Amino acid sequence: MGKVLDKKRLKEFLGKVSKGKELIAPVKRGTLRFEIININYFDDICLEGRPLFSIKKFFSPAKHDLLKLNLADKKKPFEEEKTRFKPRVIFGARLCDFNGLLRLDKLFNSKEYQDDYYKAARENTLLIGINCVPAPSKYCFCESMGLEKYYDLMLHDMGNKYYIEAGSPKGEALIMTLEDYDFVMPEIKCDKKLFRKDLTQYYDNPAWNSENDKCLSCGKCTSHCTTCLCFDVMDELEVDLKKGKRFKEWDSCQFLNFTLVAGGAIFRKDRLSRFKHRIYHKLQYFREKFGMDMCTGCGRCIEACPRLIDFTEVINKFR
Amino acid sequence: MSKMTKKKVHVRKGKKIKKIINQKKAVSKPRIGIHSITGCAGCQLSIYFIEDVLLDLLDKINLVAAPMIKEQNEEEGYDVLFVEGSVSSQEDLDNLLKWREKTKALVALGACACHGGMQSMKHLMNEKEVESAAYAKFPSDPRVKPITSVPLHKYVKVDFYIPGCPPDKQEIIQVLKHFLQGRRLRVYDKAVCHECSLKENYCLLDQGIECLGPLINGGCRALCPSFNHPCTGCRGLLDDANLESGKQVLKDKGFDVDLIIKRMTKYNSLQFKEFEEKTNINNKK
Ligand code: SF4
Ligand code: SF4
Ligand code: SF4
Ligand code: SF4
Ligand code: SF4
Repeated sequence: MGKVLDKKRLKEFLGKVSKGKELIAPVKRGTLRFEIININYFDDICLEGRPLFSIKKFFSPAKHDLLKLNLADKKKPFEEEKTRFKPRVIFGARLCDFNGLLRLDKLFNSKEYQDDYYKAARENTLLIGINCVPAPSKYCFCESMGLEKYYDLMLHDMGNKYYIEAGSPKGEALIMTLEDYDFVMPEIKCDKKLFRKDLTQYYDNPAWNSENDKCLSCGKCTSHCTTCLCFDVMDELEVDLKKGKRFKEWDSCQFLNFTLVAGGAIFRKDRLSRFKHRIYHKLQYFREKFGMDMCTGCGRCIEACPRLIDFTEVINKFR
Repeated sequence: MSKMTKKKVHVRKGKKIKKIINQKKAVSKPRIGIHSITGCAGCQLSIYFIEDVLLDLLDKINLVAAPMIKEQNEEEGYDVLFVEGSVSSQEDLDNLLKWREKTKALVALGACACHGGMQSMKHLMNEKEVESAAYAKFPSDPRVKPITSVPLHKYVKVDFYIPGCPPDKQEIIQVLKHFLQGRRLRVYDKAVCHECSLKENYCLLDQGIECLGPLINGGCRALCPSFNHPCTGCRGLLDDANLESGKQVLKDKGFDVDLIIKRMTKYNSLQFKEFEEKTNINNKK
């Protein structure tokens, strides 16, 4: 059993929840996107459709400084960028977005590869979702991906009110004073399906070829993906050639030189091996390593692709 | 030389440049030249437009040749020579071959030097017709006798490329800084779409505008799409551009094939022709 909130009181509720915090919500600026907004612009929030870019940028930014360099200082040529963090509330994201974080956690919040910024962002962000009934895009297939009910709060649109369920003690505390409501959160239904299976034996299947022929290796599928986490690391010095910075920037396995190593060898030179690598990483390798698929069925990679390449169609052919 | 400087530095090719600059350091600053063959001279101007740090940079180098802004220019002994323009006449070719002999490192500056530029469109037209349209009326001067224009690397070894029309100021600064450090900058080799996505731009293709981003080498921080202007390919086609699929993207959006090809070849006729030839050979196989 959850709680109920009159739609007219949403602004007041969000204002209270995000007091002293940054509020992040989907707004329509040309296209729908997640942005940090002031509660006074509450009316800009748009819950129709799901933004083509996920919330991952608030946890692992597209470009991010790692070190301050000062080569003149022989004793301390570099210093780590400090992570200062204002607590945040994400409102209006979807179950696939939040499940994406569970995938990113496996690397960025792990013992071996912990990313301090990511960890701080995770610890200081409240996740308030909107239930995807109906599914916001024809490309969504999260129903097939066995997502977890992972959120602090989930709102379900009931016309003139929201039914709200808490998914964590933090969430529960926020809605304690709201009125009880006897209801069951409806499950998400998607038109698109993915019949998941072990892909090992299909690696050389010719069904990949026709989709690969369409692929431009433009990397839009990975930059838009809710769970892709690959990045490149670069240094930049100022004109004095002493001060500078080391920063990271998202990268993509779809690019020719993603696997370029010292000596000039490239491990995935042909497009087909790169094309399949993305899909196998999402739906095979990650599961073998971490016990869950690295895909939340958000459909962003399909919608963002200039050729609308859709791996579910290929995989569903394998019976 | 001390033990330190003799130590092997594991930087591919950058090694050579480091050596050049280290040798010079004791005696003088690296000797830089800027020369021009057929082009609009806009690339050179991009160098002089780096007002904010130009003086700091000039302090670290010795600009020995820059005929556009200097009266006294030296003809040899360059450490790094920037050349703009494409080889479009016998005179261009003679100059380029001569300069290559006089410099340790040669940088192709701009779309023409890197890919041929607009003047290379003859590759896709009848050469004689184009030539007579421009030159028939004039008694031909052997110095300007046109040859089908090609980028620098078709005749000489090029050590680094800075593509773009015009090339990006920030990139020129980066290249100079890397030379001064004896490091080789990585050529940016990801699609324009990537940088466009990092900025979270509203994709022009989704707005029905004929953008070439998925086929073109980035590094410009997706300058044009960021201002709602479609990418027209000034940084050249990606090494593994999928031209056929690229054409299909635009056809699917309802654009005319002729317009698509004109767009794709605006700066890159030669690259386009080479890609088409490769596809034809593969199709025949
Ligand atoms: S977005 Fe589409 S065309 Fe671009 S790399 Fe991904 S699958 Fe290929
Ligand atoms: S692979 Fe595609 S559907 Fe799956 S999480 Fe990434 S963008 Fe979404
Ligand atoms: S699909 Fe490619 S870019 Fe995405 S996480 Fe896997 S290797 Fe990285
Ligand atoms: S606007 Fe152009 S460069 Fe940007 S993502 Fe779309 S196609 Fe690529
Ligand atoms: S977006 Fe395209 S045309 Fe514009 S600067 Fe970049 S490569 Fe050149």
